[in-house]
Amino acid sequence: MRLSGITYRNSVRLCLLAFFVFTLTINGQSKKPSEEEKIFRQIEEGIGKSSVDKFSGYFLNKVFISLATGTPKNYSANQAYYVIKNFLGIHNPTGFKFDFISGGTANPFAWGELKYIKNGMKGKAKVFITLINEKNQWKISQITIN
Amino acid sequence: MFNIQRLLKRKYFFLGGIFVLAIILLGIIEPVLLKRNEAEWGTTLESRVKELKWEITSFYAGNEKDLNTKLSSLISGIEAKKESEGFSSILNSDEWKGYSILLLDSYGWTVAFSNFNENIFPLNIYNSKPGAMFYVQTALIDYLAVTGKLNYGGNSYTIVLGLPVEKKYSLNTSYFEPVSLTDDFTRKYQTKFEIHPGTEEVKIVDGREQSVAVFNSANEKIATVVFETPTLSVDQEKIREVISLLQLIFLLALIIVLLIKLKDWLGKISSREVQSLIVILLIAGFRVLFFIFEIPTRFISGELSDATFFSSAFGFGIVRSPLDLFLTVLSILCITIIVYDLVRNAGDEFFAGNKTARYTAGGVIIVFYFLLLRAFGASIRSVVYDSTLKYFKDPFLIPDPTLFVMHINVLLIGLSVVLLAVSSLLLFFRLGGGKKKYYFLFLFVVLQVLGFIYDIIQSDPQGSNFTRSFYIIFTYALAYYILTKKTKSVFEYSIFLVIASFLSIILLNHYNKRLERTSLPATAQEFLRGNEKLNEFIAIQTAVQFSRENELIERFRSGENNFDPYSFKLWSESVLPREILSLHISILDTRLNELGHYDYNFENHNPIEWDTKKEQDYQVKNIEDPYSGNLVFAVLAPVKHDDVLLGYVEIAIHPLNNYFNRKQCYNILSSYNQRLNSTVDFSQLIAFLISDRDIASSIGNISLNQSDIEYFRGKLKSEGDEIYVSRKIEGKSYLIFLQKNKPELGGGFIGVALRTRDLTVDLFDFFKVFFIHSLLILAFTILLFIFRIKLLWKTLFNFRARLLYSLIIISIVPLFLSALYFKSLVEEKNQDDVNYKLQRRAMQIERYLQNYFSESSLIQNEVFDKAHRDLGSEFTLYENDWILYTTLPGFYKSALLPYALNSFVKENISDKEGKQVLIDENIDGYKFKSFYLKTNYGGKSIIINVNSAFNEVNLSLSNLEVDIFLFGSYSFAAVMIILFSSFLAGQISKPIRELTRATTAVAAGDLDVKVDYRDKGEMNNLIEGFNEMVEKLKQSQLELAEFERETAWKEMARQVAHEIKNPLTPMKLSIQQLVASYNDKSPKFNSIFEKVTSTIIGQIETLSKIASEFSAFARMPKLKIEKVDVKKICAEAVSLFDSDLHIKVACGYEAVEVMADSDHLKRSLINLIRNSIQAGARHMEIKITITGENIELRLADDGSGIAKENIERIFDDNFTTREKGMGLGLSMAKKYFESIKGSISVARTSGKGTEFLIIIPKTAGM
Repeated sequence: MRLSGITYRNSVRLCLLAFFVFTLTINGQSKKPSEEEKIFRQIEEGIGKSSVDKFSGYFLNKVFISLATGTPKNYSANQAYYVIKNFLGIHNPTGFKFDFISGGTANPFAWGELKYIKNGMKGKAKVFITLINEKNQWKISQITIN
Repeated sequence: MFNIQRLLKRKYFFLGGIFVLAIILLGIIEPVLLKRNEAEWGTTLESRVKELKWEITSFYAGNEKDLNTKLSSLISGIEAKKESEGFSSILNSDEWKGYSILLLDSYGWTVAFSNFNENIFPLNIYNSKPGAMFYVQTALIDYLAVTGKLNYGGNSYTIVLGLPVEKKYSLNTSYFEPVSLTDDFTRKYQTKFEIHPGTEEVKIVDGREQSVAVFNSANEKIATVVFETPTLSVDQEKIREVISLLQLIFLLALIIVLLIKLKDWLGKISSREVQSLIVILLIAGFRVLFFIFEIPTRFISGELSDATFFSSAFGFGIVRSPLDLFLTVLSILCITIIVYDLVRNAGDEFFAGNKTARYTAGGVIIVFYFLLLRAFGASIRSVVYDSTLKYFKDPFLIPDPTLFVMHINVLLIGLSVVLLAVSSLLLFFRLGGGKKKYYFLFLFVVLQVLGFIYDIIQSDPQGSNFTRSFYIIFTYALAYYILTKKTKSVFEYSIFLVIASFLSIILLNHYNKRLERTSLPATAQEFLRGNEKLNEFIAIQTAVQFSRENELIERFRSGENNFDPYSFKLWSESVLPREILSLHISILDTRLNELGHYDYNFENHNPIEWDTKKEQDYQVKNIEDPYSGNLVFAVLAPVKHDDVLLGYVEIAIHPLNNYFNRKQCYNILSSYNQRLNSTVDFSQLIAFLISDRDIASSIGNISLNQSDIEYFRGKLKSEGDEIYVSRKIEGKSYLIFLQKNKPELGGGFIGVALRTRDLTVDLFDFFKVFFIHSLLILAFTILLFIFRIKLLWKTLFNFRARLLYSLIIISIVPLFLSALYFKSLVEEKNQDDVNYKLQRRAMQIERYLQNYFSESSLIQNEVFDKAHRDLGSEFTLYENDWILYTTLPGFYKSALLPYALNSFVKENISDKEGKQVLIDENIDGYKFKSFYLKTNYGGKSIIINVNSAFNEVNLSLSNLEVDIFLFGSYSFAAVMIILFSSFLAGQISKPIRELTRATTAVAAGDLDVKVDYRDKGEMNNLIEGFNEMVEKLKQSQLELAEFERETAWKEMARQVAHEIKNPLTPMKLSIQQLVASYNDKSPKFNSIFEKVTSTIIGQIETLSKIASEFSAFARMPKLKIEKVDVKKICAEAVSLFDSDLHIKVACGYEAVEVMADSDHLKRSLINLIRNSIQAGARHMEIKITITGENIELRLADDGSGIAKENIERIFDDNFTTREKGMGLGLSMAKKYFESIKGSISVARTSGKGTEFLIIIPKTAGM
């Protein structure tokens, strides 16, 4: 059977080809999370579950940490681990999500609200994290919890 | 029946049982208590709330009472003051630090004030009843205050005494001193609190909230305190914590009991090595246990347990805070002391073995020795890198507790390493077996070479060549000294500490320099960071957040019209101070008129035009400032309440965070400098930004010339995008990090420079830390002395000690006095220097203003602005005791500084004839010097104020630098003086000690002693004379003994002869009579024969009796049996021979008691020791052990041994191999030991030495 110069078999092949191309295009268009976003999601999970191990591997050699309590300083990666761990130990997170994640810039950053319980009292704090590219790897350069 | 004796014997067992039972019981009780608590919660909560309310009202009542008491004291103080003294001298005294005081005249005008920055006072200050407490609410601080009346000098005054209770702003800097009653209540009662000062009713919307009205003594309501009702979970958590704490206490008590029992058990183990291993395992075990149970960090909160000061991931977090590090280091130190002690006291048999085994062991030890250096470096590196403490930049001579603890940690790490290093070397020396000096010198050279090779093969060696060399030099010297030293002393540890301090400070300095160097790229990175998007985002978020603040809404609704301080408050509590350098916050009304603002380093002169018709959460605008050319990003967010527009919040920033274009960034307000570089002192940092053509901007006192710029450009071109270079700029050496700037950020390159540290700076850093270490070493030595005072008591005032005291006193006292003198001199000079420099600035401003006033017709404020720009000084002008102009409006508008002239200045120069004054002022915890100069300006009297907070005042030598140089270097000198004095005193007193020892030995009967000491002068004559005297004494004694022996023998022989003659004479006569009668054939022969035989038998009996009596006479004297300590007797005997023989007494027990005769025992030991000396021995070891029911003494020497043929005979009477020997020593010793059921024998003998074995039963003599 011919359909305006195209045989039936060929038309089926064409349809199948078109289907594959369409499917691939759709998949291509659905946004893949960038490297920075993946890291921010890991940080989000780590903070939400009070598990610093989930993101401590991304600490830069010197991380600027500014917490609601204490003077902000640059800490070594080792120190940063315990500083954040101790903070989350006192301010037990009940929920955390990044409200905004920026990417595609030289210094991607994310901003969210942390809900916690401290000594039986509920509280909220703004969390703000920036990344920096060091030797082609994204590292956490700053953590602010206000 | 209950046996008390048995109970006492097993008391520890029962105690331990009680503790275990208690722990279990507490575990059982906990859920019961929790359940009961839950069941009774309703009633408990009611009473808890009642209690809380009562406590709050009591708190306020108590405060009112205290304030009134203080007020009375203040009034009395003022009334008692001299007329010449101003009010401010009382108000500003230390007694009133922390209080805010106002003195108002009868019209309500301020006469004087202290710590009160408000420009407008709340009305209730004027309306309050005397003695009735009230709240004073200002923009930034709330106070609790009382008023009183004061009459002075015929005038009536109102005095207001206030106590700050709530600081409504916060600065994220180290100078901020937080004050918050709300937080105090929240922390104390563990529930949320809100304090509402004022009389208004506060609506409680949440059913969980409670409120209590607070009244003063006049029954006026002054505040409402609202709090959330305590929750069951918090209450139950408290119960759990208490139970947990009690269980922990019982557990610790149980551990102590177990340790006591363990000590007894350990004492029964004969092997010292096994004992030591068990103790080491216990120490390590306890440390791990404490780490698991978080002891004592669970009980000690605060900076010592805070990871922000120090924490490392080493050992799964066993050093995660300064306190944890201290405990770990202390445990390691205890272990190293045990190891050192073991090695020090190891016997020769430990080092026996074939050559291969010994050389292999030696090789392993050397590897360990160098690995130890690596571990040392890594530890100190962690102390520097994983800490935010500034070991060399601390602004105080005596550091705060946390830094002090870290200094202790550094010193203890050093001590552990030195002890282990010395132990390794001691083992190495003894395995080698060499004794000559050349052998040790050769080994030293080999070690240095090996160390050099070791560093080369590592990719990242710890420390430098300098540190490695010094490590080897000092540990080697120490090990050699210990090896050759005859006696052991615990004060050796003080020497170890000095060496440990020296080595650890060298390493600390090395890593600190490295950290400073590696921080330069991070600083450059921070300068070049493209923050535009980030800053814009933060500005938007913050503006929206501010617009929704309840307090802002309330202030709008209450009709407030001065939002300047409030703008500052909003800024201080947001993330803005930490992120953005230049910004402007405005609070606007609905018509966009400004109601208040706060600027931080912001330059934009034009108001921004907004479209208020837009209904959005916020609007943004990007504009360019026409004056400065700076880009400005602005956000406008509406403030609404129930959809009614009240006003706006406007935030404007310079989005490109170019640090080089900043006006000034004051550490008082912002931690941004801290963020840029917390490692290097920011005031010492130099940075420059070079565009493609020329230097665009710079920070710090530096000016580059064209050749410098071309040099840097050339280096970047040839060596890469990021490099380090060293260069001299303006005659000073710098280490400079250069980095190319991205084209999108302007291109060119950035340089961040650090002044190269010269020897002066290194010495300064060394002394800073050494001073702390020297205090610790001194404290340790004094403690050691106190603990050993019983043992040392006899030597406390001996010749050597008195010589030492004299040397120390004549050296250290003048040193100390001169340090104090120089310190006070420099402090005075610095005060004058600051005064002079600030005065010079003020006079510069004075001249400028007067010059321009007379020459120009410029408007007044423009003249002042020009003075500020041209002179580069920050200043404030006052007229009629009120601010006229300031170059720092932000500080005054925000009420951080008062508009009114300082009361002290007013009283001393404004009201009087005085022209200038220098005073101390502060903003929160930031202290500075403030200079005030009265001058004439256009016919008006004005006061110029310049201060050191905002104007650089560099002192050639600050007070701290002087303290460090003086006390640091003098403490080093003091330590050296003590060490050398100790050495000198020892050397000078040595011959005296030798003589004393020899004299004691002679007094004890040992005439073989000889003082072997070579010296020149009188001492040599004394020693020679003594030796001669002893020799003669010995000769005389020998001769006397010989004569006495001869005399005694003669006398005895005469007596024996005499006694024997007596019966012999009648025997002879009787026989003669018998012979005569026989010859005469006398008829009486038979009777004569009977008579003669009877006489002869009788006389023979008499002879036999004489023989028995003589035998009994020759018997040994009776023994004096008593409880004696064998160890002590050995020590006494050994002490007589110190100079002749190295004798070591090895005994693993505190005391070894036996029933015996101490004199005989001592004499026997002296005999044996003397025999060893005469056999040519140089070393001897006396080992005391307990085996079963016997005490064994093994005396082993390295003499020439006993000939085979003599072994059997040495215990015989009169056997001797010496010309002048009596041959009685060993035989008497044998007789003695056998008399107490013991024995003495030769265990072994050869050309290498002899060992005697003495066995004494524990029940000997009984």
